[in-house]
Amino acid sequence: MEETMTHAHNPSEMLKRYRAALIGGVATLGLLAGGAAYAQEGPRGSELPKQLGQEATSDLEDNPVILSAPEPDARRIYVTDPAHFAVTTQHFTVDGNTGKVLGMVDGGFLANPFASSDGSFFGIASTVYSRVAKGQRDDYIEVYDSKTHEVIADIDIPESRFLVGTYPWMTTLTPDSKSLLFYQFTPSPQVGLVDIENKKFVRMLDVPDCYHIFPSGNDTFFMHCRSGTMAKVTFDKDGKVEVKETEVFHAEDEYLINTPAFSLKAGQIVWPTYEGKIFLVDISSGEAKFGQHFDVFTEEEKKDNWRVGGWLPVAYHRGTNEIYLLGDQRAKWTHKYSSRFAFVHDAKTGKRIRKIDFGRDIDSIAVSQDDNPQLYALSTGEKTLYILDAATGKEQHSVPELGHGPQVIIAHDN
Amino acid sequence: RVSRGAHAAAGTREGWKPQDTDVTQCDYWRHCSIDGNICDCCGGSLTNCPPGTRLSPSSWIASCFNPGDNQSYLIAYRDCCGKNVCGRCGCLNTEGELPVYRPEFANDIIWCFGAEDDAMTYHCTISPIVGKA
Repeated sequence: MEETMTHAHNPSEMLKRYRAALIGGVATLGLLAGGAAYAQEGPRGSELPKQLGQEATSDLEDNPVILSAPEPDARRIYVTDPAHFAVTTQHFTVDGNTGKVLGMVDGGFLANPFASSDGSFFGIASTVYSRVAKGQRDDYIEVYDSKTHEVIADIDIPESRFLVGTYPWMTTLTPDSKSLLFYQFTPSPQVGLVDIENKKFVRMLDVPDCYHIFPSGNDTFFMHCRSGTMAKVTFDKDGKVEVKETEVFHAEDEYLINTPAFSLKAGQIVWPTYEGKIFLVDISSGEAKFGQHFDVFTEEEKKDNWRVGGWLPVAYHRGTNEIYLLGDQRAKWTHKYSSRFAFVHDAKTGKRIRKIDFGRDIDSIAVSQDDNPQLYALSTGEKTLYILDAATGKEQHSVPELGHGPQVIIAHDN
Repeated sequence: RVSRGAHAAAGTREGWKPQDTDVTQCDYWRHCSIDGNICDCCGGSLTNCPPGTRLSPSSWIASCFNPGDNQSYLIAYRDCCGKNVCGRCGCLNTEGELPVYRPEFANDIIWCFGAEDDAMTYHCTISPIVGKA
């Protein structure tokens, strides 16, 4: 090329002269030096552009740094945007106190979020492909420091994640936060065991035709089975698995939603049906105990077509034993569409305490576990999180622009 | 996946009212339990995948009522896989849709199992008939 560029007025020469005038010839030398490096190593695409010289990295009067998020408290939440099945997803860290987005992490296809119960880390189980949406599949667990959002563990797992609309309790940490369990659907139901502490995949555990993972101890979790039972699964690190199933606790035509509320700290599962019947499963003793189920909607409300609807339509506050359930007047078989109301009931008596009118369509709710809890109400359509006083329903903050189709809210203090 | 209001033709709390004239609309009768995007809007058709995608041999099913002949048909929703989500004609219908512990009727699952090249990313869904329900 250089031999052909002898004419004084060719465009490359003009550009060189312009650059020389601008930055005193540094760029020309840079280009030559860069060319030599190029021949030896090939481009990395991340080096300083030498044609810009020192102007590009000059000293500033301000002193920019990379921020850390504050220490997480009970009002730290994570909002996941599965982006309507897109191959990349975003996960927003939000401070409920201020309604501020504190940071983000990137995930692959249908990444499943989790958070350690002491708040020190959070993470995602994720899937990426070598060529955007095709090519070599790679499943992995990524763990982040909850303040710096730096990766503190990147753990390869077999390409066995269950790819499904995001259900929080398909990927779950044990109570000591040292192990992670993730669900596999195909070719047969299994649960993957990951050693977070030592940053390595351990093994797959064989389980019956059961779904979801609710840990009650560091070597024990419960699942809900197709037959209508709960299975207690005890495992060791050698892969020995013991399974014990309870009696059937719901009828075949009582449909338990995909996204129950679960308090790891209280060992309480709150599981609504499409029609608003609440099943309570207490696993705090290490055995599944079924509480008194109750109906959220009165007979009159049922006649007026009040039913459950949304993506995460139920939340549980362990301090007050209050259950929050999204409901609205709706036709049968519209159970995944948003609701405009939340019904608050006492888990012990089943009695209604209050009803919250959002005045808008809400898809997912969660509640903070502090004494004056916040109610988090996420609108997938508006891509906005509304933060309300859980007692009064009064809006404290709104957090807009949360991706393409945000659906999931998780917290560490559940 | 698609919230009410996010798409002009997405389902509403008022319930399912099928039509039999426009396959690109969410209320076309065969789409009574579709979740995702209509392949006809992405270079495919009602029953065929777009170029360059991979057709899944596995599916969830639903019984959909055809207002044209007043019969119900079993629809096998098969996904076209191996590309990023199409993004056009997004729909979520849940007629007879059951939770994940009844997977044959559950539509949040990526039904790409068995597609060529192990393609497991979701692009769009087709609505072929299996038979009368």
